[in-house]
Amino acid sequence: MLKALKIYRFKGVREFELSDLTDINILIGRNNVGKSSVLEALYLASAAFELEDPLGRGDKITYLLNRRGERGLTWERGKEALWYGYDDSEAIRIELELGRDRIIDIWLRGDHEHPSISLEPGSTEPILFCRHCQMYYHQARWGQAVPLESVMKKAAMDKVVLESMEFFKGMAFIDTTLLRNIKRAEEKLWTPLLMERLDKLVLEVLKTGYNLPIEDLTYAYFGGMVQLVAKLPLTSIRVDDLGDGARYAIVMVMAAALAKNTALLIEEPESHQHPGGLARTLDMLLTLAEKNRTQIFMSTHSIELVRLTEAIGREKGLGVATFFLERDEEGHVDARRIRPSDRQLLADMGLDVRFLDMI
Amino acid sequence: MPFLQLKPAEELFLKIARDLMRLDALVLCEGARDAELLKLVAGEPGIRLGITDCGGIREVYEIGRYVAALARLSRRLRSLGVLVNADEYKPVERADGIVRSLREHGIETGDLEPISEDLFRAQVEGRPLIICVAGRMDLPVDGHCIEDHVLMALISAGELELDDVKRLSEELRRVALIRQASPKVDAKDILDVMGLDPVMEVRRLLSSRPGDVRRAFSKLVRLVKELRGTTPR
Repeated sequence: MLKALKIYRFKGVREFELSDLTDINILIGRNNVGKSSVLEALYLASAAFELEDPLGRGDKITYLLNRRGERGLTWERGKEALWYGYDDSEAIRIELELGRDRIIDIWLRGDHEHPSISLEPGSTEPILFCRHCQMYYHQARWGQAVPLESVMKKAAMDKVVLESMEFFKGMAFIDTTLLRNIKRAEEKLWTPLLMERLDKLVLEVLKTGYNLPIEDLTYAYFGGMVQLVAKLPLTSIRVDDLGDGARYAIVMVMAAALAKNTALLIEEPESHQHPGGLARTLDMLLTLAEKNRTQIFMSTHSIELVRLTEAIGREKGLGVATFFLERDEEGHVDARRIRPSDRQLLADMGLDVRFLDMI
Repeated sequence: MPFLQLKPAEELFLKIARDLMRLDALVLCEGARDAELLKLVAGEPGIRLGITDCGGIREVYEIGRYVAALARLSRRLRSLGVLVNADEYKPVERADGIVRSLREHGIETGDLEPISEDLFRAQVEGRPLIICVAGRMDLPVDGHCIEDHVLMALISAGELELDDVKRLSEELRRVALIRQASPKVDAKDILDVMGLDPVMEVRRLLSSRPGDVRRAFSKLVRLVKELRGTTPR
């Protein structure tokens, strides 16, 4: 589990430190304070271990370059969009603490022809990853490709690092862009979900949280192609035609069901959600997080989400931490940890925790 | 700059949401009436001063929890104020109780320094905490509270005699004993039996005898002055 993180020179964040992370971590704060950037930074860090997006969106770095603007940016043309102030002269650095003496330092360098990420896992020799050729190198011997396994052997990468790799490789970034193209996530996730019959969990959430009397989910030919459809008592309906709230819930639950010993990064889970649907989806996400030992990071503007997560987390014995983020003019992001009891005390005093920058 | 009263939260929501509000200092009162009276009598604060209450909690330990949360979570507040009723304690005992509660909640407070007989200064997380203990010890009542000052304003305005207060207190104690209720009498009971609403009375007196009101509530005025003094503008 991630205990603490530090981010330098990434997107809108010049510098940011966050500690006391727990099972479920909620990021709140005004617009443009860096909540999404924190999720994106973790996702970028995961690219050091697995370049391909687990939800079918291609390579992670290109996805990060394009997820908002969709302007076809590439590493060669527009990589500086990832850097704070568009200045790629210094590496983006993401330092992640997975436990005592378990720190992984990830660098994204702009001065190479191809994006490369170096891993400096404390006790071992620094390793550089070249995205272009998908090879690992000894940093000191740049140009001499060494297969990962051999580097691992040579540098005696310990168990801790291997566990860390498992943690980062499985990391999924769930955002509302998936609603525009649920097909990719469906293609990636549905079969493995069926193999473990985890589709039942999706069905359960849709039935109980979204007022849909769905009997089953299956594939049907429609418009000359195979599409996922929900079987209702009298008819069937394409998943594409369900409401946005239900579709976002499907993506979240599918990803959470398959994630194990890793982290889920979820941008605004409350998007398009009625509180009833949100409560049911959160309940399932937290159940799966507990079962699969998955850490969750969520950004939100919803006080309902904070309250529901705290309550469900308490029921399930999971730690829930809410962090209020604020950014100064120079890009330094500050986080204040708000305990559930603090939120209630502030509410008693008429202070909405989302406006903590008032005080 | 007027006061910003944080409660009721629903009324303030639009203002907070639409305007980027930042506070310099915040006063935490025991109850809504204390907050309302402070706002009325203290005049223009001259700083961005928020006033709120902790919903009528009277246990000093609990008030300390609220102050501790503010001290821990705030980044912008230059100073904090607490307005509590003396009740049946000496002002210094009341102020000391708050400081002890803060320490028990893990907040560094420094030493408690008296500013006056019923106004005290401590430190919370490196910023001044001004504690104002409401109540007039010279009134013949059993528990002292902010409504003591309303009675004093009525006395200063010549609308009430100290002997009336004494007489009403004794009568109320007698009635309480007959009813086998607590014989403790405070200014709230006296205003109640006189059919007077404290906030309405202060509003009325402010329009005709503002000097008397400010004198009667001088410690509250001083509280705001102290907070202003500790807040660079």
